[in-house]
Order: sequence, then structure tokens, then C-alpha cells
Amino acid sequence: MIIKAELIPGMLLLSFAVAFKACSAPPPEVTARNYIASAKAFLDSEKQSHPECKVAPGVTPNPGPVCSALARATSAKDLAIDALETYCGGAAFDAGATCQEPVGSTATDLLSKLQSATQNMNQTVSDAKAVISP
Amino acid sequence: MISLIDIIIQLGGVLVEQATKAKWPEELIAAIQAAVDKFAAVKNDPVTKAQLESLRG
Repeated sequence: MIIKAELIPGMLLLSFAVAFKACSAPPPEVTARNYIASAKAFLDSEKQSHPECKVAPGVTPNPGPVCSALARATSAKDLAIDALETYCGGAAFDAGATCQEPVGSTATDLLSKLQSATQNMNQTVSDAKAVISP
Repeated sequence: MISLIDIIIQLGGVLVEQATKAKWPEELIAAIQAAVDKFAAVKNDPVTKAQLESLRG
């Protein structure tokens, strides 16, 4: 069978798309980390744009809707980090090793808590975006 | 051992090269390159505690 040269890129693209689809779901800890990093980038950017929301020891937090929304989203993000650290947890992870997916009877529970915390974070970040840019 | 991600990265590199020769739209080539870069980043960017701690606050 002879393959025309101009068809090669198209065939490569099709192969690439199939392979990409087959392995496009990263591990849950990577997905969660990427969501957290995205939330962190958004929150840091907004905190720079809203210096009145800066949190400092001994200073009463600004009760305005924007500052409250940013504070809630920051708390939710840190809770998602807690859940991810618990999911990846273990002596090796605490000592600097990469995430070790849990095994055994608690694995499903830890994954569920991680997904719940990540969803909650994403929701509070969306809420903050709605308050900042209605 | 070569992984599926390695294969995708290599395949993507060949695809970008061939698409450039075939004068495909630049936007499409850029999108393919971005997908390849994303895979390479995922492969080289495992989750660590130090990384997570840097995302607090």
C-alpha cells in the first residue's frame, strides 16, 4: 500500500489524538495540585489588586464582600492542600519523596475527601470571581 | 522503560515537524506544541510536600 506524503501529518495527528485521549487523565494528586496552583495564582493576583484585603497580625480583617470572598477561597485552598497532603501522606512524603497514592481500605475514603475538598475550593474560587467581577 | 507519555511526546514532536513542513495553520501547530509541552510538564512535575507548602496562604 502506498501512502501519499500529504496524508502523513493527518495520520500522525489522528494517532496523536488517540494516544492523547488514552492517557489524558493524570493521577488524582496531580489534578488536585494543578487546581490548587491555579487557585493560588488567581488569589495572589487578586490580593495584589486589593491591598485593602491584606491580612496582618493584630489587624481586623476587612469585612467587605471582596475581602471576605478572598479569605473564604484562601481557606478552602489551604483545606484542599491539607486533604492532598493526607492523601499523599506518609513518612516518605513528609521527608521529601513524591506523592505515594494510598492503598488499602482507606484509599477510597481519602480520594473522596480529596475530591470533595478540591470541588469546594473550586466553588469558593468561582464565588470569589463572581463577587470581584459580577 | 519507555512510557506512553514518552511516546506521546515523541509522536507530538514528529507531528509538529511534519505539520510545519506541510504549512498547516500556525495556530494548530501551536496548539499541538502546547499539548506536548503540557505532557512534558506533567511528566517532570510530581507532587511533593515542599511544593504544596509553597501554595499555602
